Amino acid sequence: MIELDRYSREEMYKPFDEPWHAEVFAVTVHLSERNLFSWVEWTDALSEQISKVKLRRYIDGSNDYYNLWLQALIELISTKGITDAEAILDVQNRWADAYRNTPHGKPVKL
Amino acid sequence: MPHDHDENHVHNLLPAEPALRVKALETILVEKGLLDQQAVDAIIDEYEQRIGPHIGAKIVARAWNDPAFKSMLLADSEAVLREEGHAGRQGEHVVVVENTNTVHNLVVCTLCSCYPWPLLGVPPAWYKSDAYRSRAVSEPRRVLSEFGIDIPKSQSVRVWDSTAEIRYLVLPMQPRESVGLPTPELAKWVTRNSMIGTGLPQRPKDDQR
Repeated sequence: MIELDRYSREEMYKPFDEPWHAEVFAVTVHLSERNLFSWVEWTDALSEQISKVKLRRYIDGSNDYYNLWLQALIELISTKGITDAEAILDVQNRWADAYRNTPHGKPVKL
Repeated sequence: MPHDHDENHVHNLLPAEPALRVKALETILVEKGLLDQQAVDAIIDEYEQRIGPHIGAKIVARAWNDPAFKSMLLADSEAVLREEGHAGRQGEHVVVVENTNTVHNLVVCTLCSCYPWPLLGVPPAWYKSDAYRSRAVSEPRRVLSEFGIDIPKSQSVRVWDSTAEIRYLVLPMQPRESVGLPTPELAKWVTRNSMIGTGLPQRPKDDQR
């Protein structure tokens, strides 16, 4: 059982713990507003992802949660035929190489 | 291929794996013409800078000071929020539930994290945790005591499970010692947690009286 105390007293509004949480949140809202999927489709996809992992362990509301969010988003747009996990991994590796090969201080580009 | 740390500081720091995956996803969506990076940045800015619990607090404070507004809010919150310009995304179908001497309301989303964004912004991490989402329903009084509030036996605890279609905002009871304050002052008493039901309004820290 996870203690809630750690969070409960904290009243400060801090919408996102990490920049990528904000990115994946905003990308999802944006795609839904562009009608690539409805918000109900989205919450169904996210709920399914959360319920899958729930059986095995408690998830936190930060990195765990947004990892599931990201997974749900990738699966949802894959079912729409927009892209798939393999294509994303490919571009991800290219970005990783670009970071490794770009001298410090220079902008990283693909 | 692991990053070669012998060449420390020579290269840019490699972002964490999920951050890179999001970046890759954005790259693909931009290439396909499905994503406008400026629009994404504007959404982030909106939730980081403009929208937050201070908006819900103003509504609650006004309801405390204006009985007619309060009646309208409880009867048809959608119409009131639309009129006030707070019907943005996830703001449709917000139901305002009032705490009384006999009922304390608590809001949760058991399946994911539905939440009245235009009034409270993005939910806090604990709201999205498994611990809160499951325990708020199974043992609400115990969860509330972990949040530091003990609900007397005379008050029943009603748990509202949000969905993509309906979201809830708690109208907390006004603390007696705040009666008579002007609405902008009252708004400072309204904490985020008090509008979720996991807290009570509090005297603002900068209040010297």
